[in-house]
Amino acid sequence: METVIKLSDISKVYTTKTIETQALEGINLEVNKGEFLSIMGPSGCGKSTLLNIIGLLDRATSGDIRLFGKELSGLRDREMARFRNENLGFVFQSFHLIPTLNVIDNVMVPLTYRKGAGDRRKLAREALEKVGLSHRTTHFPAQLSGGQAQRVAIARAIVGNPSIILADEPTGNLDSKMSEEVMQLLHGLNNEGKTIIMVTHNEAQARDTDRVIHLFDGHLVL
Amino acid sequence: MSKIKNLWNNRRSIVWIFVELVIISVLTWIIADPVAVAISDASLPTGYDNDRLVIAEIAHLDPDAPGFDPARDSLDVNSADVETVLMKLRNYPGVESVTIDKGFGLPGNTANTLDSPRCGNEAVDTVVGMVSVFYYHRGTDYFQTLGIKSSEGSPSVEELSETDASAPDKVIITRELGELYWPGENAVGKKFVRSSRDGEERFTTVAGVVEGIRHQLPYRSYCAIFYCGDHIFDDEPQRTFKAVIRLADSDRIEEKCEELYAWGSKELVTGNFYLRTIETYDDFLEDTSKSLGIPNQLMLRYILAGFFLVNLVLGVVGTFWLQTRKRIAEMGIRRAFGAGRGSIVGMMLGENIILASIACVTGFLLYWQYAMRNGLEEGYVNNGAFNVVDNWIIHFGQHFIIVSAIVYLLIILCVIVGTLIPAMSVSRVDIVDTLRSKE
Repeated sequence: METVIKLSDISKVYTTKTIETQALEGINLEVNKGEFLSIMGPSGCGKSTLLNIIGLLDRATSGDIRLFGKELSGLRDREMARFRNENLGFVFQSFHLIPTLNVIDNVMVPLTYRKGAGDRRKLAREALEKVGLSHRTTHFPAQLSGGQAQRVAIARAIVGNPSIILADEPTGNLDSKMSEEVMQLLHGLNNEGKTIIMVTHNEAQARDTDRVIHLFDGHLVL
Repeated sequence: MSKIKNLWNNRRSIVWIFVELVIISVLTWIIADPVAVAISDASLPTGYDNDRLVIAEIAHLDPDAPGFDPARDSLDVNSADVETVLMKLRNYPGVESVTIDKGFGLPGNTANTLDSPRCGNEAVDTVVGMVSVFYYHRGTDYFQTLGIKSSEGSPSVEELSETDASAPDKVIITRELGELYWPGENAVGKKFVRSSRDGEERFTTVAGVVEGIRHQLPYRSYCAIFYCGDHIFDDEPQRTFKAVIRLADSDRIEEKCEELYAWGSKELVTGNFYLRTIETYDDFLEDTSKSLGIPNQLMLRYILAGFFLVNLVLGVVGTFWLQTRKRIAEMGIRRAFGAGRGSIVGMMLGENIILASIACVTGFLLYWQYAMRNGLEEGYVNNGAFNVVDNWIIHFGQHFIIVSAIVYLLIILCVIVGTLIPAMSVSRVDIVDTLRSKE
């Protein structure tokens, strides 16, 4: 199996004027192409920090990160932004839709920053069809239910056809029915070949994924 | 296009900024217009060369003053003494030429008068208007000393300085006045109709044409008539007068004035005449301007404009600063999905510039409605005097466009400062922190 994500001895320390907090320490992890990986652990153990480092939203204090075999730790901000745009899709617990944009414009956001994206509106419409919201294109986030908002967020994550989807507690703000719908969508995407890494507190959801890793106090627990 | 769409999507939250900018653009117009006109007027050429000029005030002893010599108070001796004073000044090292002013002779003098000659093309009245009047004295290098140039088709200033315009009814006029009365023609030899002191009308012939001079600063009029002041020398003994001195160069002019004063205090005592003061022509113009209250009026304009400008900068910069900082979460989302720092800054800058531009155009159109009815700032124009300066101020369209451009640039500059600094700061904030700020 092809390794698409490889973390070597990743550490992350948050430093303020008075204290240093070790969020992650010595994390080694490999994720294969098409794998659905769950990250579990108690609150504050570093799950989201790890996801953010994998997603290039945050930089590790030390250690190496390779995506698709490419060493990314030393990339400049602009290069990281481009890499994120082309290869990664994000789904957040609180959706992070832009409230002043309607559904289709929200979905088009990643394409705005990609050259030669083609017909952006058409691609966004296709992504919305995939999540079953093609009839809601002109609605604004405030007019959507939590489940619908998260489906829009998933459409936004996949519109640019990234290979890896990073989901940070995607069902954390949803009821069980909506959670089920979102998980079905994520499994569907995984079945299409997407690599998915999901942070979750839900053991049942984690059990349904290919692999579960546990974090405790910034360490990987086997 | 995406920026306009973003603005439209944000319309509910930015409508008050739009209204504020419209009001600010109108107010800035009201404040900037008189200041722009005043600055433009101040930059107009005077028409004479005052760089190397100094003015010596030659006083005359009162009959009851110690040292008064009654024997030298006759008309002949008095006139000879005046000539002697002028001769001594002409012979002083570094003096190029000297002329005399016995009143109404100096441009910039508050006492200059207005006249209303009519253009009489063989007794046909065509124009009636007010022009500035100056008196000069034949044989005193008046035009050369002041640096007034003769116009094309006119006798030279050397010849004009010798022209006795009092008899037989000759005058010298400025080119602008000639063009006003006889457009496209050489005014030399043309005739005016003037009312004489006894109320009778008589023809006055144009003996020469010189380039225009400004009657008084900061007035914009360039129309003037020069009469030879015959009545001053011949009627009665001369009292106080001014000697206008052109120095060979303008270096250390203040020091030269002091040296001239030190020398003249002793050497210029002639009969009952003595040197009272010496000042540069610039100081003379400044004093005149002060006596008219012009600096105070200008200062008030500048202070008001400055005060408004500070408030404008603080208000607009502050508004856009806050508005930009408010979008930190949105920028975090955009950065997560691939927006670089440059595109974040560019997007916010572009949107705000478009918003300000639309607001400015709206404000300018509103002001246009007012200006169409009430006019635009005219600046300092003599009451009744011809304003012949063909510049942007008197053309409504040009005037409106130029001041609008100034106001637009001012506001856009504020918008850029108010957006760029926080936008750069927002673009540098950690993405994870910006995303957290939304939660």
